[in-house]
This record gives sequence, structure tokens and C-alpha cells, in this order.
Amino acid sequence: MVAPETDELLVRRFKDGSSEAFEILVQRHGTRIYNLCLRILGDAEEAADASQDTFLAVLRKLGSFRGDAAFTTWLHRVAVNACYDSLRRKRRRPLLQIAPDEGDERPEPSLPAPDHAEGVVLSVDVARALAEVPEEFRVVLVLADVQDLPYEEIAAVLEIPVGTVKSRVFRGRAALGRALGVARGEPSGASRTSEEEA
Amino acid sequence: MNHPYELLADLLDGTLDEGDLAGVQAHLDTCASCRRDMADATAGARAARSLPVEDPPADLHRRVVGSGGGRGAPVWYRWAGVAAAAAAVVAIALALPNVGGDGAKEDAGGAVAADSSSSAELAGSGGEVVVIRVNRNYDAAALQELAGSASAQRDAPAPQAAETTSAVDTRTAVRCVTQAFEGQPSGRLVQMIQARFDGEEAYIAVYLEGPGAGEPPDTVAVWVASKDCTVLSFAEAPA
Repeated sequence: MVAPETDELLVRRFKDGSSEAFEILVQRHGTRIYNLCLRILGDAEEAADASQDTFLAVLRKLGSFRGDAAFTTWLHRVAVNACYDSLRRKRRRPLLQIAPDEGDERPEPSLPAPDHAEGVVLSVDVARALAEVPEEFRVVLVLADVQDLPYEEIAAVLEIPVGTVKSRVFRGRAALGRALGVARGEPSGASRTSEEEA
Repeated sequence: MNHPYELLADLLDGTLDEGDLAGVQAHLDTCASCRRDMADATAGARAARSLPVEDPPADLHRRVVGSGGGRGAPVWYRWAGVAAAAAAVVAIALALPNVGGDGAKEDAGGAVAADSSSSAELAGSGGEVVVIRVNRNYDAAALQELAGSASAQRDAPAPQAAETTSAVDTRTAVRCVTQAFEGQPSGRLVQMIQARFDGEEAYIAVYLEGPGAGEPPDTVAVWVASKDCTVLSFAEAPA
């Protein structure tokens, strides 16, 4: 059995003119990038658009990518930037909505209301609760617990210290847990925000 | 009170140094807020990890590569692909990663950290670059020559300028080119020329672009838009 080509080898082939190499990279990372965008943006259509923007940006930049950073680190950075762009565009459509408070930058949940028995946490509830997590914590939480990236790699993707990654992932997890508690009607810590306690 | 979130993350992950354990435990004994956070974070981590992997739309692959993309594709792909993009909003501020400039807003990390202030609206939106009016009719070959020339000089090429205009006009020109190409131009603007392209009045913007991830600029991209902000042409060369 032949081992699959590494990303680095595919990047090299792409630079040598192989469009097939780019297609393999899209095939290999498409689902991962889509899920990253889906969990950050909370909307399937916006996630598809952000994924497309990601790969088009990669297509444009890959030829000059020197590989000082790992390809996956760079790819995640491009994708996170595409998600931030999407969130910014959403914030720039304020005419029909009240401008959100500073730091209250969250996508509007686009999922249907749950119709299951109380106490059962379904993925639809988690996805909805994730949208309640402040953006800066949500991005790190998704990279850590959905994408399963090591903290060191998240630090490289976001260009922040590892300690900041840990702090944000903890606060993101706590915010998600609280949001799920609210969804289940549990009052514990529900009205608190991490900012109030810091 | 300061809360030791970083150490609490380690505790939750089971990676806390033994030397820190007693201090963290002592804090938890006296801080009800952190005890609640620990409980919430434990539930939150479990919930986040339980999210299923969703399939991307069936047409995502086609949307990205189906138009014949890839490095071997002709340069028109650089705008044709994006023109087909579903993101219909004309996002002047698409801060795609690049390392073309020296400002934080222009590199990939800056894009990650950038806020949404209007000052970040236009990639490489001018600085000290002024519009140079040139009495010349460019064609595709001349455009490629311009890209190569910028590449060789690694800075603004110097066409024979008839006159220069103010920075206000530069911003207008950058906005027009950015709008025509739906936010693609990024990096550091090194030249803005007002001339004709195939007989039509045009803005010709020369950018130094990089791949992101802290790497230096290595592409010269020349974007040509009509004065009514529609796509006219594009050329690129290695920097």
C-alpha cells in the first residue's frame, strides 16, 4: 500500500504546476475546514462561503508559500481569517438590527428550536449554545475541542501565547457549559459572564 | 480577584504540574465563581467534543477547483474564481492573509487580530502612494512588463508620469480596484497608475503580496479596473 502524499509534497507539486495537487489538498482538508467554519459561524451557508473563500485564498497564495510554517497551521489561519471576515460582514449589515454591544459579537443562531425531552443534550443544542460563546473564546474553543489542535498549534495559528490559548479555551468551555445550562433551564452561573468575574 | 484560568485549563485537561496543584486547589476552596466555572467548563468541553463532523456541501469541491483552478490555470482564474464566489456582498475589507506590508493590519496575524474599524477597510490602502497619471495605453503585454519591472525593482516602478494627484484620489482609486476585484487585492500597495488599458480609462494598482504565516512578500500583483470599478485585467510576477 502506498502512503498518501504529505501536504508538503503536494504543495511542492502544486508549485511545479500540478493543479491535481491542489485538488487533493481541497479534498483532504475540505471537511475539516468546513466544520471549523460551521462551528465558528453557526450557519451552514456562511460556513460554505467561508470555506470557499479559504481555498480560493490558498489557491492564490500557495504558489508563494515557502513552508516556514506547517501547511495545516497556515491553512487554519487562512480559514479563521475567512471566518472573521464573514463575521465582520455580518456586523456591517446593521440597518435592520440593533448594533451589538462591544464584545457581544456572536452569530445569530440559525438552527431550529429543540423539540426533545429536557436533560438530553443534542448536537443541535450544543451548536446553538456555541453561538452564545463570545467570539474570541469560541474560535479557540473550536480549534481545541472540535478541531483537536494542540494548544501550541493554536497559538501559532492565532499568533498569541500558549497561556492565552489555555485561558481562552477554559473560558470558552465554561461559557459553553453555562449556555447549555441555560438551555436546560439550570440557573447555575447562568447570568454571569467571565468578564464580570475577571 | 484574579482567576487562574490557565491553570484551571491544565487542571481540567489533567496536565497541571504537581507543584501548582495545591495553589489551584486552595483557590478553588475559596472561589465559588471558579468552582462553577470548573463545572461549566467540564460540561462545555464534553459538549464541544461531542459535536458530529458535518459533511460539507456537495458542490464545495467544484466551487473551488471546478473552474479549472490550480497554478496551471490562466491568470484570469484569479478573478474569475472569486467572481463566482457565493459571498455576494462586496466586501471591500476582505483581509485575506498576506504579508505584503509592514503594518500589522497587512499581515496574516494582523488579520486574525484586526478589529473591524474603518481604518482596516482597504488592504494596503495607500499610505504615501499617490496616483500617477500616465499618458499611455497599456495592453496585456505592457501589464506583464509592469509586473516584471516592479518585481525587479522590488518597489514602485517609475513610469513616465505626467502628473500626480492627491492621496484622496489614491483612496478613491484603491477603493475602486478593490471593489472591482471583490476585496482580492491585498498586501502593500506600491504603485497606483491612472492610464488607459486597451483604450479604456483605468486604474492600475501594483501590490506586493506574500503568502501569510509571517513570510515576506514574494509576488507582484497588478490589478486593473476601469474608472467605473469593473474588472479589466490582471498580471503577476514573482517578487
